[in-house]
Amino acid sequence: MSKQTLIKIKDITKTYGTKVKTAVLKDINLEIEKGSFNWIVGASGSGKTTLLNIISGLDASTSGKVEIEGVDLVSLTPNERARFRANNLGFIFQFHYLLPEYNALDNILMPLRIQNKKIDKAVKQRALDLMKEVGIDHVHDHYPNQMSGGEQQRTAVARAIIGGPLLILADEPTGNLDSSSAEAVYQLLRALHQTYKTTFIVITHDKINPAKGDRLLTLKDGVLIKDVIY
Amino acid sequence: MLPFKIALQFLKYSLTKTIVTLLAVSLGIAIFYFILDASSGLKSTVLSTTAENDAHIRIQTDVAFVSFSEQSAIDLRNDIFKLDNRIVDVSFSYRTTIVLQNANGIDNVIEMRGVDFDYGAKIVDIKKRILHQSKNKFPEPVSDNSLNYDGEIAVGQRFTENSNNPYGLSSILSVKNALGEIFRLKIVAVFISDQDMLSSSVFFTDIETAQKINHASHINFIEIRTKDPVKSNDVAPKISAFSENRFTEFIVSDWQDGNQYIINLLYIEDVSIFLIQIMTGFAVAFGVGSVLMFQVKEKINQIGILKALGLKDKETVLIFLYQALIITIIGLISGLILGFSLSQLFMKVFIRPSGVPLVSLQTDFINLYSLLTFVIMLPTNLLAAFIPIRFVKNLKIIEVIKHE
Repeated sequence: MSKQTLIKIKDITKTYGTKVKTAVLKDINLEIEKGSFNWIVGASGSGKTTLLNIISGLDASTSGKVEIEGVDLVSLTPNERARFRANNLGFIFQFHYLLPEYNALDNILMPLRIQNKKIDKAVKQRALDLMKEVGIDHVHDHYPNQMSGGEQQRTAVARAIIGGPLLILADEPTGNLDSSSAEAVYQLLRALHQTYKTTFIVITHDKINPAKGDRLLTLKDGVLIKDVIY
Repeated sequence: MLPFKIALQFLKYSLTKTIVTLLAVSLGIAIFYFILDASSGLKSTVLSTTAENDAHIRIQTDVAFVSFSEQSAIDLRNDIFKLDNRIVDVSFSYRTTIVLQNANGIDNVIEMRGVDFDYGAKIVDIKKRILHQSKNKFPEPVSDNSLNYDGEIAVGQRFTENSNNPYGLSSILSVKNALGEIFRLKIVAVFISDQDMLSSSVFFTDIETAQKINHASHINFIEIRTKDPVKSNDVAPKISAFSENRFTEFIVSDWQDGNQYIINLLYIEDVSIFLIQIMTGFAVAFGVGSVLMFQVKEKINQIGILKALGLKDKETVLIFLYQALIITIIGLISGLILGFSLSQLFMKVFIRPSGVPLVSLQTDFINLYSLLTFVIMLPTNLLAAFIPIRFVKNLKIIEVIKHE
């Protein structure tokens, strides 16, 4: 079966400042395959979060082009970009970023609400099943301040996957967790990847043990210095 | 509807803060409404105890009419109406003085105002002021010689309450005219008035009876009311010019001539109230704006994550606009209820010895001032929400989520 390209990154540069220019990303060229599991590693300031933000359309590149499934995010209007994110992307951030005003179940359902999907019993059951899958069904009615860091991050993972996105972007998802919780989250991401065949891009500066088929991209000072497929 | 639901959830989650905010907004709105109603009530009370008890402009001149429905009377009235569109009533009356001896044998001078109760009485709205009446009747000419009185009168409540005047409804009074002739007048109605002089020393009667007392066959006053008594001085010169051409002898008087201090006070009151209104409105709007700004700053992470999840800028803005709208509308309704209750309490607590409220305030919840409060405060508060809403609109997601 031929492999399909999901993301095409061409000549991406990102420069901050007007008088004194600082290049954060320099001429990045990359293609990400559909259904692949990708790690981006690098030291702090290497440009990995900037690259992730540009891929997701949260930030704009100074030059170059990013296409996801043939769609150039830069050419979209802000509203179209927001709708594209809602329908195609799932986010997992370091600081969980759950909505404290909503319980775990409602946090997970939020992407569907943003997609204007009807939340009926079946959808709620699907969310509860997903919670069970990520191991947080016992806290479905808990608010974020009633959950541990690990539970909050699992809720964020479930929220990222509920809408059936093409791509899940995780920016240091374990940065705020202890080592055992971090390992558990990585195992969960891998398990979800196996189950849903969704494309994952995970940024980390943890030491990782890539599994077979994983792709490991290493950034240094805004340059892609290493690209290995295990 | 998602932005509305999120707005509700945000307010519900911070319930204590929301309630405190609503209380503050309600209090501000209540004060705004109360000041508006009370200042207007005070103004109308002051005017009702001065200008509203008499014509605003009077032409004192002798004009003979056989009947008020005759063409010359109708023409004269129409000609005066045409002088200024602020003239709302034109009426004719015959005024004279009589002497009434009280229970202690002291002579009291009483003004008899002969008016047309079907039309001229609008000048002092005597029909609306009637407290008691014999068989729903107003004074009318007495043509039956077999009756033991010569005319019918309406007297003020204060006149009947004066212990020196042991008279009430149906009492017959003996009065003297300037020539010392005695006339017997029957009280057929009692009216109320906040003005002492009107309530205690003026009798209203029909024109024929007033003329009969003085053996007259003309009217001696043309009485004019203007839409706004405070503007009568704009109309009075036109009346003077008109009288110059129409009558040989006349005196034009404006109620403001002897009441300039009231006009000055009302002007000062208007300016002060206007400034207080602006400050109160500004304080309430500033309160809503700053609470919303506080909310926005507090929810900055939530805004970032919602935008990242795909909520459009417009929808994010709507969340905070709905919050402002919910706070303002609930605050407006509860504030108006509070302000209205305060005004009703005020009317019950602060009353005159006669039982009439010290200041007459609105008695219907939906009134001009509650509508005015709503119409002014709703857009003002929403305008105050503009700065925090602009902040939300311009918020960049990466500024919230960046941590590298």
